[in-house]
Amino acid sequence: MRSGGAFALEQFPAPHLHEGTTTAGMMFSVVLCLLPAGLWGVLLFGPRALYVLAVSVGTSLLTELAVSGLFLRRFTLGDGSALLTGLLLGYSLPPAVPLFIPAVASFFAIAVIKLTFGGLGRNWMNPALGARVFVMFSWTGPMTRWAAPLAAADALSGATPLGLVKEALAHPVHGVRGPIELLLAGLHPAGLKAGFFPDLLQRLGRLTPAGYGQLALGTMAGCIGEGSAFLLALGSVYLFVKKIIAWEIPAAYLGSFSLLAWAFGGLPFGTGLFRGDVAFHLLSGGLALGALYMAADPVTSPLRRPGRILFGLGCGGLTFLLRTWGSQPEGVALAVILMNMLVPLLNRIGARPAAEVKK
Amino acid sequence: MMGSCQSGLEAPVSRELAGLIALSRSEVRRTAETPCIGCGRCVSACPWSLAPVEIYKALEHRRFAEAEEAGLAECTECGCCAYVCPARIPLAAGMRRGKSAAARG
Repeated sequence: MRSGGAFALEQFPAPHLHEGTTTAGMMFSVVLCLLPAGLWGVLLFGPRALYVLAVSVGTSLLTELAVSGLFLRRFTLGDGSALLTGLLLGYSLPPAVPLFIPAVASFFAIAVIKLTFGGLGRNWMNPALGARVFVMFSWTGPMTRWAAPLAAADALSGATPLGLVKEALAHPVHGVRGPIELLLAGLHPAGLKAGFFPDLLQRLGRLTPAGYGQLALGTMAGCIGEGSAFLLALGSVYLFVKKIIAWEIPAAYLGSFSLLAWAFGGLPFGTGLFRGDVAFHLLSGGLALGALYMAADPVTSPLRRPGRILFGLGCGGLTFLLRTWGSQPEGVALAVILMNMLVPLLNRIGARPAAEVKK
Repeated sequence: MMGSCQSGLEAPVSRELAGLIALSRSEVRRTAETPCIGCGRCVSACPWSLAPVEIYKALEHRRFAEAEEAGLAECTECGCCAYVCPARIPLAAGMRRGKSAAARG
């Protein structure tokens, strides 16, 4: 659109400037911030974890390319969302999982959860979490066989900290005052065999303080990318500063979850109210990955601050309920998906009715 | 942010004109529009605490009553929403067009 005068001037409506962010830029920033935790996971669990990540990311990209190209006639790989979904999904799978599972899960995430609703921005459920729940309930066996990092040579052994505690609490416990004691009693002695650089990591394993230190570093059985709460939190700092993820959601999520864990976390151990082990609950399982990277997914979370806070509170409450009294040790995925369903309702909260000045 | 584009250099400059801005091509380079991801940046940016994204979507589907209810009339077309939108959706221009479309019904 150009016209007239001595100079040709571009014409388009105001504002003519832009602050600079793009959707793809946001997606790639999240991918970048996730990388340290993933690299750490690969280091701990070995080449097997790398294959799982490669299959989930690869299938995700191929599915997006094929399905979006064939049915929507659009080339959408450039927006980075398929890459991010594949990566998040791979992070939330156990490293020893058979390789067809990440492939099926990625296909389901992209083709069914995301593209059937119209692609990026239109899906109501977080694709990575939805696919994780789908394969979890379809292949529960392989999805709950854990390889312990830095642990004995029998690769298919060990339980996740949360699984271990859940298992122990299935029978009456006596004389145990909290989950960390169960954990220390039930774990392999730290520091035996790692995926890469076994010698170096062995030494690190011995140096890591048992219990909370292991939990924060993720040197325990768990999913590939969810282990190190420390590295996940580190990556998220950039995202908070750049306002790529809304701080309200993780704050309300982790806040309400901590409060509940502190108040009622002691009940299964018979230690009464306000004796829960908050640090154990915050550092274990998929909470860091779920609260910082998945619940805060802009597509499947509310628009306004009041809605976001309620969304986070709901996620925290449901996660605690599911973890403590659910049949599975983990609760993050289901909690976030349940809250995803409520987003259209939560979006009505805080919506201001138009001022009645005119008329 | 709210100025109007001139088609050429032969435009009158009157006393009421507050400013004249000339932007180079690299400054006004536009990026292709991508789907809305619901990040809510436009909502945080709006000085009238409207939800530009909701108004824009209602207008896109010609649901004018819904757009009015969401505060279309209160929009001053300041352009803050379009300035921050990572999907590069022309929200402010949409509001302007939407107001006249809504008036026509």
